[in-house]
Amino acid sequence: MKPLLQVRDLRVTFDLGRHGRLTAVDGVSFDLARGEFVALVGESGSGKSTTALALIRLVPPPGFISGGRLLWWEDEGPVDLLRLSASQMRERRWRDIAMIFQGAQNALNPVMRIAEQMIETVRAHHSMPRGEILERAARCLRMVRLEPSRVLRAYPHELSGGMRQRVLIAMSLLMNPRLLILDEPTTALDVITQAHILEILREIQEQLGLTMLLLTHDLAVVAKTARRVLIMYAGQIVEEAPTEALFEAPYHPYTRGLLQAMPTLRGDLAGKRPIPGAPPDLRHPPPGCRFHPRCPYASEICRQLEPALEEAGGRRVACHHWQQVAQEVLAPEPYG
Amino acid sequence: MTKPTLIALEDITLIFRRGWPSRERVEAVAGVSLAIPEGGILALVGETGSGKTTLGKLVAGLYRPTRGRVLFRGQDLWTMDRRAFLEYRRAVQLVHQDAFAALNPVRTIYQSLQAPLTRHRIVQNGREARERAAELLEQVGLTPPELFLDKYPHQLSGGQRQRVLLARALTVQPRLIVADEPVSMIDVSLRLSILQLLRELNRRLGIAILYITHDLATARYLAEEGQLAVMYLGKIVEHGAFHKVLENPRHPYLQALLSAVPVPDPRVARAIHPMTLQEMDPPDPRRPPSGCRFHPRCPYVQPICREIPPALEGPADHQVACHFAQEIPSWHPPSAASRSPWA
Repeated sequence: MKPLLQVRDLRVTFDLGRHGRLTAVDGVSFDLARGEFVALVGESGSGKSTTALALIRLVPPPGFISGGRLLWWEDEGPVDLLRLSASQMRERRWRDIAMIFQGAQNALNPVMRIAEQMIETVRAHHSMPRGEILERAARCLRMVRLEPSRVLRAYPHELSGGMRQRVLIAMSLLMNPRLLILDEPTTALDVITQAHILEILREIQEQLGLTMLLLTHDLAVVAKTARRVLIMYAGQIVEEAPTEALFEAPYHPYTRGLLQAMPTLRGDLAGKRPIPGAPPDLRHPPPGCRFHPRCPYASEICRQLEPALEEAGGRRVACHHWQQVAQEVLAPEPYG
Repeated sequence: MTKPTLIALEDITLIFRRGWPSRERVEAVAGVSLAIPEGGILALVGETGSGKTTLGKLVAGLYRPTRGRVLFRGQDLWTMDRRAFLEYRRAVQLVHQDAFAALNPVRTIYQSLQAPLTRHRIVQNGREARERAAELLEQVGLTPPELFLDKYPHQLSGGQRQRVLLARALTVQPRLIVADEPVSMIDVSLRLSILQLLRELNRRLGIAILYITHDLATARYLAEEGQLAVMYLGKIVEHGAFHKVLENPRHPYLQALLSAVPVPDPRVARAIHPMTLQEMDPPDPRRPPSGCRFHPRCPYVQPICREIPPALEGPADHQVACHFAQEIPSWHPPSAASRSPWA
């Protein structure tokens, strides 16, 4: 697969003045290939949203990108997005990389009809006749299973939360981006609406061959959508694997802990347990492996030496004891 | 052996009025009857706008019903004398979703716990208050308590704050805790620990729990041996013993909900498709549909459904409010074999 974006050793630092400095994203590297559906999973404070904001260079102050490269591949070769001027970068946002922010369904302009908002979005990048834009808008709305004749005339308050989220997805498709980043796109929505939106996302991704990066805290959402998963903990990527392999046998104790902490509708609940402790304060991250204070596998080396993210049979994992973790998976049992 | 009923709702309706003179009426709860036994667990599951939070507040005595009665140990809450009402207020404690908003940011944890202890004369002096506060923190797993007593809410994590809220609820030795989405703002890795704590309080201290949530999976974790009530636009659509209802869901709304719950196993998740509804999104709760409130979305809708609201019927351990509860096909989880030990 051809690469689309290669993130190399990305660092985002927040300068908190007298409260010191905090590295929210600490040496993150990963690839996105063309037409791939990838999930970036982490809990609140893991740095997943900050990573995504760094990809479009919109980290809010007092945060700033303090290192790394963002290699964006075009036919002629890679361009480092971090070396572009502000105006060059602005041109690429929405056209090359679109992002749907968390809770953005509530950020539509309340006094503007959807049609006008879609026209404005396109005109920020191209001069294009109204009719042509509306045709394109209708096409995008149909892709998210919305009726254009009804939705284009509507004001945001006339639409439900799920419909507004779909309008936003349609808007993000207007400029035909190559990468679409979605930050917790279904978190505030009802379960039934969420399930339908996840299906729509998968459909669009397959139809358009778009690259999607889905940010979520919910591994069950990942199971439904992404082909590959990146797990983030305390500002670092701790595991990367194809989705099915990850669920069959997590290699990192944190991933395993997350799966074990998820209550389910079927199956045995006896093996379910929370991860002890809480995520670290990133102003004072623990020495060695950042997960060691919560890890049941932790040993002396974990307290002293930070594990590198290393290759492990087509996957990547940052754990001194991953072989042991991988072997200790419970025996599979049938669903239901 | 049936346990005595602690709280009973009898045909409760609550109408909110907005604007003058009462231009807009919103029936947030419409004819709900439910009972919570001493020491029982009831999971009340519903989505945004279902009225589940309003129902929780009715149980906690924070709203007065427009029609119907709330009975506490057989006595009508809104006609009982002041003494009995105060006893009820102690017996039923509400725990909110947002633990940060529920704690006073300029009070230490000890101060937050000490206030109800002295107010209700549970302790005689400062020394006793501190001892009791420490005991309560231990009970909710904040150990050693000395580490937490003099901290402020902002110094604690979300899970720890939720534990403090539970400790505060325990100061008055309640018989029922109404927990409204207590884990939805907590990190996934820690949610289970709060649910485990609630279960422990139920088992060890015999405190009844009303668990209000949109999440069927966490409801199962807490209430599998208790009851389940499913709410849709102000009405209970299905109710009964949790495992019975889950085994054989009869209401099309519950079936749709179950088909939409994400499964943490890629093979299964990709094999399941959410049930196709006439409309993906719920209607505006301010204007509930006529007849059966689910009819505009229901795949099995018949003319009668548009006109006559179905009653909640059936044996006490499994009741359904659907005209065609016996006719519609049953819903089963897909049989795709899971290779994941987590699903």
